[in-house]
Amino acid sequence: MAASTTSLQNGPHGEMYTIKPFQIVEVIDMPNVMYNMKSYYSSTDYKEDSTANTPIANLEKRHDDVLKRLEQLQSSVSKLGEKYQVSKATEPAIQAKVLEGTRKPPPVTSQLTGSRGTSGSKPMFISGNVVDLVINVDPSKIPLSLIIMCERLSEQFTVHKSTYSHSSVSGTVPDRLQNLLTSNGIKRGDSQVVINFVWKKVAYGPELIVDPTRQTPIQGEVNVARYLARLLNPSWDQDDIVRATQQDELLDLAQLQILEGNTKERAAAVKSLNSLLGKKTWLDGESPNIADICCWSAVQQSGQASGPPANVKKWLTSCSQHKFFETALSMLS
Amino acid sequence: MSGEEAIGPDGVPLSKKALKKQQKEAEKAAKKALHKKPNEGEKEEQEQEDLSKGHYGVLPLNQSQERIQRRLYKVSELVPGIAGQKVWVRGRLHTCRSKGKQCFFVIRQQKWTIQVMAAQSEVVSKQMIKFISGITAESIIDVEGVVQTVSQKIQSCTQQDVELHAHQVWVVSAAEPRLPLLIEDASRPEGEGELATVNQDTRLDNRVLDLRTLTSQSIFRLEAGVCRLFRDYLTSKGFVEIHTPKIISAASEGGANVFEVTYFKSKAYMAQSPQLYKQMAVCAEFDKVFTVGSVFRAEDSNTHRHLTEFIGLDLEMAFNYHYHEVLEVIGDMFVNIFKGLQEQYAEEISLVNKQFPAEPFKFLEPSLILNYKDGVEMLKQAGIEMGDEEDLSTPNEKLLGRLVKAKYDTDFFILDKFPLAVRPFYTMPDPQNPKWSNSYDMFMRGEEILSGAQRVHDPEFLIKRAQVHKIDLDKIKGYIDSFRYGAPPHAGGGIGLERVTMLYLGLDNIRKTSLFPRDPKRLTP
Repeated sequence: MAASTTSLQNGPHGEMYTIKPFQIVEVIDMPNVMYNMKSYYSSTDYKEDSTANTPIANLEKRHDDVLKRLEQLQSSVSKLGEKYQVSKATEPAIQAKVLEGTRKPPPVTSQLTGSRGTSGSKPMFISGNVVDLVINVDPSKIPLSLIIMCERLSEQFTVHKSTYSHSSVSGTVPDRLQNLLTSNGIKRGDSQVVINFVWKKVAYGPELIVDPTRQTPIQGEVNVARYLARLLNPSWDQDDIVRATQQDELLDLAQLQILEGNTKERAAAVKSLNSLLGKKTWLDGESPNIADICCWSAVQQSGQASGPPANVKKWLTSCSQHKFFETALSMLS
Repeated sequence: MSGEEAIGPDGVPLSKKALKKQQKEAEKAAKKALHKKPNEGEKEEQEQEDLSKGHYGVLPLNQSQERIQRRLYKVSELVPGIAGQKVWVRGRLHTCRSKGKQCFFVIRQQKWTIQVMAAQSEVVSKQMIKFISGITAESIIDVEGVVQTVSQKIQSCTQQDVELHAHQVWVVSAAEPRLPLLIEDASRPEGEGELATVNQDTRLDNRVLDLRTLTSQSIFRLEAGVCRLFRDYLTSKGFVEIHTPKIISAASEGGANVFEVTYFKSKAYMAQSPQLYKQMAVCAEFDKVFTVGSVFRAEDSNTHRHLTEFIGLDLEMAFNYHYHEVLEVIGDMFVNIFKGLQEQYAEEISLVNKQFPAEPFKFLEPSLILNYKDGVEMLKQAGIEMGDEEDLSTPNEKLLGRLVKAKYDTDFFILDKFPLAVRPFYTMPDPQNPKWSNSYDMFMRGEEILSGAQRVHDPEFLIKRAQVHKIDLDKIKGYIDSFRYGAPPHAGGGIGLERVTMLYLGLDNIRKTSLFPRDPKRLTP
């Protein structure tokens, strides 16, 4: 259409030849949104229900429908779970949250001690195959928390551990680091988890690689620790959303303020740790968990362990007496 | 020529016009003479006014007439520390450009180069500069000069902080004026701009020139390093170097791929590998042996990684309880070689990379050992369809190399426990599962460089295995018999030197790392 009109305007006035428009353009109403959707609220589920007369009855019916659909969803999820042999540990937690969430706010009380009992179960994505982890670590910045997490993994699973040094740091890795993790006779073929600890020059902190064709490396000490914690207990942060958030905050504090922060931020972070600790022995719960491990590691690495505030000092002492921290402590001396 | 009385050749005075014409012609002739036979003109001039006479020229053929007591400095020794000293240097004329009163040329000595300047002065005459600019490239010359520091780094030379101010220049051995290839062209990275590069065949046809390039010099120095590090490491571990025969009576690994030669009135074969002989040396109580020598493969494959003759680095070792003792020694040996190259040959590596860019070679210490099963699993996860007991095809090998690199960031790894079905008859089967075997391959940048195994050292079992593979027992009688008088459990493997060098440097063709390569289409030079 455009072509024909312009040729008429620009061309000679005496018509040498006429061109029929080669395309007939209809005016189409162009939408001014990217997607058109039917209104979510105008679904027929309850509006056209004529049997219920009162608004309350209407509401009740809607409530029942929602519950029914949730149940359906739950049963199909559990079917899928059976099909892919997902660990049972996660199911009750989800169920509880779904059902309780509809009626009352989630309980603030701690449930983590209970979920510790599920340790010993297989990580949820292990199904017969070996989980082969590569952890790249800079020998000049030893991520103590990861050493602790690796040890905890080998308590729980049969783990084949080996330490390598990459050619980018060849010749500069001390012997004690070179032989940090060794498997005590566990063969690669017989293990559930394989941990390859590689001393290497890494730009953005420790790096975890599981399957490079399907994922990007996980970077940063705390993020790697989170991954390992999930291997230890797939539902470590699913039981209690408030608590999980608190833990997350502590982990972020360790990574962003203590590990990566400047002197001021570090001091402030240690101060807030101090006030958080208060009279408690551990940061979170009755026994040390990932939050303690990561914060302890960060405090030690950033040189904040000397002359700390009273509560932090007490906490550091109880850490140094706990069995989790034994090997990592020996790295410091 | 045009005198006061302008007289023509016939004695008749010339007209003005003719006079002018004659004058012009004379000028032309003079110019021509100067152009055509500069030597004659020079000679005349030299006799009269050449200040540099006796300070340049072509030396007579060296028949060891006289032993001159004179220190010849190496180009590498010319550093700012000896600035101001007068030194003699011998090297090849790499490039030369002259601009009227001065002349710059570069002397090359192996991988080192230095810039020399000759400027007209009391000691350097115009004639001398002319002589220098006439010397053909690649000629060997002796230069005496004063070492001088320079204000601006000379980027094109290895000696960047000094240059030489020439006082004397002598040609020791002149090169032909027309070279089949220019060193500069042969040193140029491929695919860069529109400047000429030299193709592989021209290079190989004129290998003597091609080997003079910095890149070739570096490659073969590094190759020598691989060989030396191999020897040093194994010697330090108590290995004995042995030499095995290369003319043998029967093919060592099956009948195919061997060169047949006439051996007086009968036939003989060129050794495909020293396998048999190193095993016999182990049985002969040498315990741990290695050998460096040529091996021959009559494979008519024209690929980037096959040669018909190459240098094999082979080792064989008796072990105490488990063949992994050997596997670890070989793995450690490779780490040692890689580390040694990284530390001692950093310059050579960077020089080669300038022409043939490649990622630096990465490795882990200790070497990564994966099971064949795990390797196949990785391939399957990447979408490759293959059976558990299937051999790795070349593309799969490469892909596996890439997968391993992505995950473990290492260019070198060991694949252990190959399926028995894809290995030679003398491979020891796995004790638990006869589907697998005690054999291993090692890979560099996704290409196989070593293949080895625990060998069957029991003669009866060996016969059984040979029968499974339908091998004529008569032909391998000697091999089997060598195990009849007590043989220790042993394992080993062999590497191709050229392949290791090629892959370490990330080069694309094995012909680049073989001094005078032999392939199905090339027997010369």
